[in-house]
Amino acid sequence: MFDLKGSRAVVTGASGGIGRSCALALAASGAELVLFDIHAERLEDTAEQLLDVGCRATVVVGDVTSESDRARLSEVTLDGGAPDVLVNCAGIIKRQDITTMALLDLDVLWDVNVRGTVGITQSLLPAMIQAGRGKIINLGSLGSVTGLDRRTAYATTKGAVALYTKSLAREVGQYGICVNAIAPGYVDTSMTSEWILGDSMRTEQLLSRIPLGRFGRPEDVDGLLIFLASAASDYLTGQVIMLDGGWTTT
Amino acid sequence: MDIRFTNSRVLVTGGGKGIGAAVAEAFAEAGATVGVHYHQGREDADQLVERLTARGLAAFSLGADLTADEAPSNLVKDFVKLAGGVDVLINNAGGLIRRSPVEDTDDALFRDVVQLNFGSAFAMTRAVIPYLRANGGGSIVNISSVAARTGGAGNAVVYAASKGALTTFSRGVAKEVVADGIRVNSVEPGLIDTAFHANTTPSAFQTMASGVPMGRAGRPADLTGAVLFLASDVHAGYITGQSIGVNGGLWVD
Repeated sequence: MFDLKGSRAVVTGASGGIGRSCALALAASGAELVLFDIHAERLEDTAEQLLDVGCRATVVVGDVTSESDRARLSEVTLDGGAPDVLVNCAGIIKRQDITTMALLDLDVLWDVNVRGTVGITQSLLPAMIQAGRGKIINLGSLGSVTGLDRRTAYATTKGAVALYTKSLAREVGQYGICVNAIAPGYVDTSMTSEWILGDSMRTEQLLSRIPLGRFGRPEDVDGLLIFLASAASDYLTGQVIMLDGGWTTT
Repeated sequence: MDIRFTNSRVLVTGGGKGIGAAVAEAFAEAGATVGVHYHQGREDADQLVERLTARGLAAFSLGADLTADEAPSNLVKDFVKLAGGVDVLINNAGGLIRRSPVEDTDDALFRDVVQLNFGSAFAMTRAVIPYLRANGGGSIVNISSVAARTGGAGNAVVYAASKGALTTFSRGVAKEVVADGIRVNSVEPGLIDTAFHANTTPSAFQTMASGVPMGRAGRPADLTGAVLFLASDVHAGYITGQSIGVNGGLWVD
């Protein structure tokens, strides 16, 4: 029920953090992989780690904000047929004061987090529609739902990703395609560790709001990801699922 | 990924038919010892157990009226005695009883609906917590409903409100028992093709189903993935207090 043998999955943002962990989990469940990221060297590292678990991934180096890079990814991917799974994990964060936030920050984050997600999806969606099946999994955030202080641009773009997820789910359900978002809380990655661990007072405050009593690890995402990528979730769509150690209950 | 429940003891209330039966079967297939609770449907529960045990799977049935005072704690005790302990509780028992507009709903019907859909899950949870804590942890999954979000279909408002209470209860109790290693989550099914809709005409049901973005009603087996996933400490260990809608896109919020 949770098996992915014979499935093909595309993972963007696969060079590190949650994206790399997603790639490893998909491979461990038997999926074939196409990896996409702007960081060539770290992406190769991911591919090498995958070799260790017996998965020879196709690597495409590119930028989710570039139309020609997206076209290249889709060409390489569709060579092997429509993908069964698309994981839109590429994303960036910037922290700023709301009063002095540069509006350019909003543009930069919007480009990667929203236009990137929408553009990548659009480039692969027609093939998935034609195949009449597919799982699209977007990486949202706790902030998709709660908003985030001093991370206004990030939370705004992740809110957009959540609404894109729901809108897309409504539109492509008729083709048997499920679209959901994983909304992690505070997961310790290179993108977040300075924020969550860099100031002991803040660390303590954050931990005090996590009933499970610890920050998340990238591997905590694996189970939900595989569930959403597999046939076990064939009637589950349009959901933004919190993976937050219970944060949203406090 | 394979979700296994080898050596786990799983109690499913209302496990003889519909969603409960599909969930009970999936746990048994995943290696668990499953208690199939029933109230009125003894025959269904016994047939399910027979089918499962014939395949070499571990299951037995237990009868109880969960709206009766001591019944939930006795059910948990009986299950523990027979299975040797308890690791997972699935609060699935529930039902409409009958449709009734609010102004025509007397106190007795109100109490019966709330007691069946929320009271039973409350009492089962209360009874099972000490056992789970003694094990060093465990998991509870409550089968709520999309009605918890929508306020319910026609003349089923008290049912919907009791499911809303169940979803809220899940969030709250999740925090209370988190230090004991117990996770509590809920699943909210949408339009699922079960006896729940026995009094809906086929054409009305078809009309509702075609309005679901995925173009069909759900089947009981569509719920098993979410329930097994949430029940698994290995795979959902960082998720507690959440509710997941399984509704084909019928309700997204």
